[in-house]
Amino acid sequence: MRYYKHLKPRQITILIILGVVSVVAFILSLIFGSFSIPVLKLLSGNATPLQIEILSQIRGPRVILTIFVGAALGISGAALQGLFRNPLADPGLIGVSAGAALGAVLAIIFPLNVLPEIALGVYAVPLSATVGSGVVIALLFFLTRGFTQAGITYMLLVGIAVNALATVGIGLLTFISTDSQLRGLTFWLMGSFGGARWSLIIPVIFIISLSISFMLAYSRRLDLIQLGESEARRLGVNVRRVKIIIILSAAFMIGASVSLSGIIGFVGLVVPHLVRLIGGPNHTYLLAGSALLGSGIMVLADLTSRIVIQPAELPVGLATSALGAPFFLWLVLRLKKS
Amino acid sequence: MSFIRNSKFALRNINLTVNEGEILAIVGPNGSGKSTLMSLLAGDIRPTGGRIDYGDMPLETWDLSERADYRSMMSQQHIVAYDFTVREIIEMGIVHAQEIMKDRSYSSVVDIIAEMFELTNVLDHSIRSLSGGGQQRVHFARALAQVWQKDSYKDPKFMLLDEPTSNLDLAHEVKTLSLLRNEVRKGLGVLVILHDLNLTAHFADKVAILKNGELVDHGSADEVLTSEILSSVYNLSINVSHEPLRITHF
Repeated sequence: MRYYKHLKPRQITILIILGVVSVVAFILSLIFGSFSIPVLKLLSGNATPLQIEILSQIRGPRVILTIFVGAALGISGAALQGLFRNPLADPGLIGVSAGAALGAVLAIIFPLNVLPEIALGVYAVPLSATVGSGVVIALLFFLTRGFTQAGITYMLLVGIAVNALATVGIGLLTFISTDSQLRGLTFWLMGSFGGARWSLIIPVIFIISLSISFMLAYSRRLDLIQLGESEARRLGVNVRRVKIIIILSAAFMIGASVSLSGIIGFVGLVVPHLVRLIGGPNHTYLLAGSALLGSGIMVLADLTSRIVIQPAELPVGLATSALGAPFFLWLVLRLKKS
Repeated sequence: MSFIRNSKFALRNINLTVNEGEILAIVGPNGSGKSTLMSLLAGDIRPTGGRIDYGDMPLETWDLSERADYRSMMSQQHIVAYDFTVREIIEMGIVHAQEIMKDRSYSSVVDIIAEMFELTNVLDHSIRSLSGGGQQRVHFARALAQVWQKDSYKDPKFMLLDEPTSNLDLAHEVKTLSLLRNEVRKGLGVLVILHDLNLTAHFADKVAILKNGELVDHGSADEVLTSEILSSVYNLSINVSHEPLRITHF
């Protein structure tokens, strides 16, 4: 069945503006940092080899990763809020981020002790995080019999339990870590894009792009789910398939994102709300808008975290949570009023 | 067809047919199995015994999108998550977009249906800003949009309506049922649960009475809505006078 996707002129304008903002943020983020790169010199071909090296090998991949992670967090939040018909849903809520975090922390505390011959090197932490999120997805899948059983509340409760377990694991590992491990671990838990390298980000970009395209294809079906699951089924929507596609896409993209950037809170929760507030709730617009705004906000947050206390770097997760938490509180109060 | 829930018959040996171009009304006391019957007919749940056919084919052989094309269903309660406009809600009903787009623009279909339900002025309002009755009319409009055809129903189309006018005032109730009557004249088939027996007598071509999950009687309104049957079904002394058919219980 072909569903008609409707974008209002106003929504198209908003999407274009969000796109332009993201592109501007992207360019600013390439130029500024602890080592600034003059654009004119670069364009006229007079940049020093060091400047080119920094741009192409350090800052370039970093900013590109930031864009993709921001888009992943924004669109996953929007899609999960739609699927769960709950404005407080968030990728963190179903436990996937926590699973990835536990995996990463394991790899930091036990660096290749198990298999010393296999030199995983820089891949150890991201791989372990991906495995962690994969385990959580599998657990969710089995506990909810393929995401169908007992509805959304059940799944959120399972997510809360998984989150709690992962937190215990992280706590224990923190307890037994050495001082130097603790430092790396803390920084990772607060989120950072500092570790981006081309070799690491290419698989992540691939996973995120694929997941985003899956989600966009299901945007109209998410609209119909807002009438209720049984109502959507009567309108011809295979609700079970939508659940599987949306949850797996979100889980893979969040797992992949967290594996490289650590835990970045509140973007997935707050961005869809902003996008909905300015342009409406239909998902054809909302998913695209959340991906764009997520990218823009994330790039700016990363830029801020790089330039506030030069040459040091503030963990980007701190910046997003500091802004996101008060907004979240405002949202809760607003919901209570209405 | 039968349906067993918690090892008790919720519906037992129900045998009904609704044809194109007619309204079959289902009446009966609370808990008699009317809404369960609707859910079975919509394909939400499967009968424990017997079978349901859409046209000549068993319901199970129709996939979800074919079912959506063949019948729409309006349930009693609607809770829409997020703040959609009335236009957006009606648009959600248009699931066979390709077919409709062939000869007219998509939004004009929404406009025609909105006008039928007197919703034109509120098309761009949030559905949450409407009264309960207003919201019910929007969902009725959406259910009609799902199967609506302009001049006549060339392909068989059906609507399943579970108390579609329960929140409407008298004037809107009569108007809404009249416009439904008009669609039925064009060939739409309707199965509707109603509580008001006088409205049933006026609008239904056929009436089926359910009690305790069993079909007490079915046939034309004149045949079925008699004081003996109604008094025994509702345990209340009910008088019926004919020409015009009037049902009173005071």
